[in-house]
Amino acid sequence: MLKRLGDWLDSRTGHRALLHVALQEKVLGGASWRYVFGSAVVVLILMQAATGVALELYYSPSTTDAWASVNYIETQVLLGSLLRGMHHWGASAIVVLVALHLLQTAWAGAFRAPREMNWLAGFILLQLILGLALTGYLLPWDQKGYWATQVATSIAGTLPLIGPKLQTFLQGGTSYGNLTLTRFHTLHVILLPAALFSVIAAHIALFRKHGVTTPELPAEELERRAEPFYPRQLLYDTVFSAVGVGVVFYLAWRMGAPLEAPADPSSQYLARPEWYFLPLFQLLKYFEGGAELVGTVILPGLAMGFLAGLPFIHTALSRRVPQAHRLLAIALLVGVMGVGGLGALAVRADQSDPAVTALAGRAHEESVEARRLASLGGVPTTGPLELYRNDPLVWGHRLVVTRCQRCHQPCDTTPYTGSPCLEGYASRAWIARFLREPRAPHFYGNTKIDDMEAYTGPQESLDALTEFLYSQGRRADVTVALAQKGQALFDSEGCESCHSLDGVGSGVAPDLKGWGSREWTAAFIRAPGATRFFGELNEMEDFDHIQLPEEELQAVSAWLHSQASQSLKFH
Amino acid sequence: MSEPSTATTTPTRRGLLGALTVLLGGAIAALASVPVLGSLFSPLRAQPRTGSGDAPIPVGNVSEFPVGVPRRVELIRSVTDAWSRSEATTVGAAWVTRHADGSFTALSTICPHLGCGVNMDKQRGLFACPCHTSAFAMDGKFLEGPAPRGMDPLRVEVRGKEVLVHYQRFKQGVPGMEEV
Repeated sequence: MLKRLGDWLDSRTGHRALLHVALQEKVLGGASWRYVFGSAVVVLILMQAATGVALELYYSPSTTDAWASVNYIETQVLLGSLLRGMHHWGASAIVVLVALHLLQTAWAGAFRAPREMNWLAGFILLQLILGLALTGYLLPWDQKGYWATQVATSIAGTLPLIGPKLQTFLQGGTSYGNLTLTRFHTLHVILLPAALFSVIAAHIALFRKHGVTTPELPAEELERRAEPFYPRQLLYDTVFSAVGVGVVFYLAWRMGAPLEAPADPSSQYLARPEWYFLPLFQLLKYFEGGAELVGTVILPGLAMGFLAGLPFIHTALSRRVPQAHRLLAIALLVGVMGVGGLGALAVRADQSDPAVTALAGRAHEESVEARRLASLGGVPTTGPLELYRNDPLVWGHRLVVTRCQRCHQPCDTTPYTGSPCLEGYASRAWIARFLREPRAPHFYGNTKIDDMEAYTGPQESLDALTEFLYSQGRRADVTVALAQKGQALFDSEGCESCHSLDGVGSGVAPDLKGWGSREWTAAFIRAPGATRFFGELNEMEDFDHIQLPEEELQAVSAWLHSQASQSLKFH
Repeated sequence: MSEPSTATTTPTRRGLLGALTVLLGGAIAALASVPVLGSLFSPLRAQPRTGSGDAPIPVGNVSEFPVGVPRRVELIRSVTDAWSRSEATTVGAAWVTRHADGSFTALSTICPHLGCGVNMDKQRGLFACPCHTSAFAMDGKFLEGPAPRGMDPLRVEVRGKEVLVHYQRFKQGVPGMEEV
């Protein structure tokens, strides 16, 4: 029955003959593990196509939605994290296998006649795969994709003559935005895959025409060892491909794919490309000023030119040099090792730079923060950066970092040379330390304000004074009796001779009624030079409604108010 | 090291190698299929109902509704659509009528036939669907046309001066009201 159905189908389609051609191809010299890399690349590319289509069911290419939809895949879609992980690790695996395939075929001398055209087809495939990798990691519109891809398009912009126009063309405009994303998306899911599959077809057709590049043995020996593609070579290919897919699956399952915080054009982000572009990134460091083009375009262009030109360099060289193909293969191997070495240098430089480590740590924290906020009910339609505004503390902190820390440096800056630092501001520890040494660098030591006397009274009086000042910030956890004792000391110890408590102030020293509360802080930020605050002594600039809109002021005040429950970050 | 040629590969051995290939090929396909199929069928899982989804939607003050004349109101509320959250999205509309005794009724504007938006035909004093000419009485009862049932009533609540509509959607094309 089955056989009759098969016969009928074969008479209509001729599929048996096709299968026969596919499986009975003669492998000269016999099956070998050397030939498995190309097949594995094809298998992984098919896997990328399958996982890519599934990702495409959820991905939305717009600046407001891209990050949110990728985060949705990661957190809401069944096995979505695994899916994205496989696509991510699949890309890396393909780059590794393509490199191995390249080295294997180069070592066998596959660039020699009659396979020149197939070498060129392979070269085009390499470019397409790198293009897919580059366009792919912009799509989540996270910090990494956004900043790393900027570098690539900026390089395009530095090309002589056509540069600026080319950059605008690639970006879809003069800066990054929706049009950049839709262009990269179209390249990544339509144009480049279509080109990739077309050239793969040509690559395999040319391969079938000329066969494997055999080891250098006498023709009759190769003929004696020859066997059909099926079963052994196909099995080898399948075993190796299964290992490759298995490794990708394992990495995706254990590690998933990274998703950094949403792209923020206003942030300071450490732009580092994916590992396979690190060599190019490292190369940029060596060329400055007018010589940048050497690192960005000329050297990579020469290297790629050498790779593409190998068949023709060999033709020219082989007339004079015996074993020219081995020499060229060694040159290529050295070149690839050099590329790898550049990548290793980039990694080493980053590992030994504490600033890089700190920035990377902060990027990770931001990512966790953004994803936590997104989990509280979705990403606003106005875009993921609005997430930060949902939580006044998160937003306030971001504003403090961008607006305040130019003067009020982070407390752990060493040596500390800024205005009073703000982490832990108005906490009990902060107040007690301040009373003891108001001129310490983390307080007013770096300002003109020097007429406040250090408090030298006993510890219990200090505690009471601290509690009284702490109570001004409208805190829930005030010990009332202690604060009252502190208020008595405030008068008797002479604090009131400079600091009023009437909410009006004298211009001599800040009025302390409600000190540390949101209202006090907000009013202070608006006009630190008012009579109620520092008066003539003030050094801080006013933040008016234009400098700091009301809602931002409220966020900053909320963050400062929250610092009273934080610990100090200096000793 | 001598490589076995075709001649020395016995049919049994060929069968074994072939079976192994099919097995491993199947393993590759299975590994790739796990996340692809999982994500593909992800929407079929039971969706967690969001609290705000069922909350009644305010549509205006009592005084804004003339007695006895249906008024069309847009139903606007915050919506979480997959990954994105909007504070104010129009999710539908309703014909709201204030009656002489102070009570309110509301009818969904979605035609129970195939989901077109039902209009009011003031001259004929009835609701008319512009798509397939179904017609309904002012109280929503079915009059004529292909619609399988009358217009779907929505629950109205009056809190103080505020009128609120409980928005629901019902399956189209069936005689009974089944919520979707």
